[in-house]
Amino acid sequence: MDGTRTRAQAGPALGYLFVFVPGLLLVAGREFGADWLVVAAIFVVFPLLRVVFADVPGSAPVWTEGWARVLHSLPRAYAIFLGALTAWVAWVLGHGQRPAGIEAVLFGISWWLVNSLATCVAHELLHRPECGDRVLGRWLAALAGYPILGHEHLAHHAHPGDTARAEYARVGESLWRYVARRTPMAWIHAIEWDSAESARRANRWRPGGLKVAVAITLGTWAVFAAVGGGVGFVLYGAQIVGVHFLVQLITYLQHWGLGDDTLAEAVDKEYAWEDTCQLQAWLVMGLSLHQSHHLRPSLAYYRVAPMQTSPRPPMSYAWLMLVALVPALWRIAMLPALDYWKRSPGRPLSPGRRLHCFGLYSKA
Amino acid sequence: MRNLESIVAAPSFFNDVNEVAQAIHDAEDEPRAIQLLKKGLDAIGAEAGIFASFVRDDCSHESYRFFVACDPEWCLKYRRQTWFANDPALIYAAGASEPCRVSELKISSAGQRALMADAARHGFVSGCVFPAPSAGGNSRRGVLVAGSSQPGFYECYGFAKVRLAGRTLALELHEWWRRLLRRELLEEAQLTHEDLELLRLHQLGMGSKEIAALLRTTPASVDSRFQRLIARLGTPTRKAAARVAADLGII
Repeated sequence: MDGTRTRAQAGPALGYLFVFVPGLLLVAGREFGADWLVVAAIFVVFPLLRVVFADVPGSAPVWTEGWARVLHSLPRAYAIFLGALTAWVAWVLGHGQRPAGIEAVLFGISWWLVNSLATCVAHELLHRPECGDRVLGRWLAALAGYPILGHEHLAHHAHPGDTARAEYARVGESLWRYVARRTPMAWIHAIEWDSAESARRANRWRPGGLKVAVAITLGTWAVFAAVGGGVGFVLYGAQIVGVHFLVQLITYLQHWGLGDDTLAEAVDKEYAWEDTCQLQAWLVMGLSLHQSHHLRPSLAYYRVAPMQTSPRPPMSYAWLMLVALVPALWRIAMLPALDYWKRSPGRPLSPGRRLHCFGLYSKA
Repeated sequence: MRNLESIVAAPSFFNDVNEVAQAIHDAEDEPRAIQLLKKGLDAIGAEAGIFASFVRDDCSHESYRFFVACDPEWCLKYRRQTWFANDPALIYAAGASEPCRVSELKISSAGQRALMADAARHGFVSGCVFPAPSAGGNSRRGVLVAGSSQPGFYECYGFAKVRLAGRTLALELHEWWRRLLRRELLEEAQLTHEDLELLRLHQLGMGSKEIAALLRTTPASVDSRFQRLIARLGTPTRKAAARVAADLGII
């Protein structure tokens, strides 16, 4: 019986290996002169694969202990993988086939996407009870170019629904205004949080502290400048800026319109958009099941299931990211979804094997 | 104006506190426990107080629970500012077991100074901190903070008796919270006696084969039970599940 269940769970468990695919495509793209591979995968192939993989199940699998141990170790393995990948990028810039021109731009964008997804894995580690995993998560985020994740994210959880602190975007707020508002606040909140932790532990230079994380990011930047010269300096600098932007963008996607500016119960209910696409959940380690995550932050990614009454976005994260760049398009896409959820929270709409929900709102 | 020395000099001082402590033990719900907290605070001369229960080293503060018997406006502000992340009284209680005066707490940041200044404006001009540690390396702690709006109220020699009395109240409140959290976990995770037995046997160092032999079942059945049990508890392994249960005193 256990062997049968182990085999039956292999598919859903191994699906989480998708988290490694963008990094492997980055390497393959450089090797074969196809630096567009990661971009094509994230924005075209993966969203289209929704017709194959459909939605996550309504409840999380009861994993065998063997699979639970494997899945629990996966983020740690990923941290090692990203370290090796970063070292490989430094080698490419210093000694290998350095990209140039349009190839360099595509390579930079692809690397940015990989680093951005790495923050999802770091996020999983941050919420673990094991101290070593939390430190590893902070270092992973720092290596990806976003050293404040471990601190500002805990502050984000402590202030659900708070639009004044820019933890949630206001309903009338564009992505650009939100990013401009949130980025400095995220740093301020991270410094405050770190200050509180330092006071608690009487140690400003502890391994999980903000100073160490910032040192990792700056140290990595210095290494890239040293091995890659001007190109290395610009490329990694662009990662830092790009990942900062993308983390705020994802926060925008996950909480737009659900804050205390329009919903009286926002602080208590901790609303968040949940995309139930199975492949999406594999790729971001369950982060897309975001309201569930807010209500039980330390629950491991492989045990999270969607909430039955959560608001659902009309398309995948990848396409929503592009739509959010144009505020008018964002309102066209999201206002019907928000309105539908407010009217019928108990009847969430999911695309299932369709690519989007447009047209479903008018029929509902 | 109340005087601490006269309060603790009363013949019924310890008797009154013990009665409240016993009533806390028997309190059937949160409103009753809060009512008794207020009565206990009054018995030790305090006008305001907070009891917090938390897991040490919980960075995300999911485990934090509070009983409040003070200005509700201040409580809202305390929560909004997430002062619990930087509260000198909670930091003290995470590592110490001896009661102390609030004036003796180490204040090391501007944020903490702001918190203490605001607390003073809401009834905590003078106060005491009564930690309630758990036994056996358990990571859940409790702390009772009692406050008075009178400057220097707890700085007199009467504090020696208040230390004992406040500690009694803190320990009973801590134990009350632990019982509540145990009940919540048992209900949420739908743990049965058999589940608890499995965890206890695992704590004793037994593997699936030994447990199966003891319970007259098969190792596969034991593994299957553990799988469902750790899924309900949301832990990755049976070892982590046993630790969660042990922390709450369930096993």
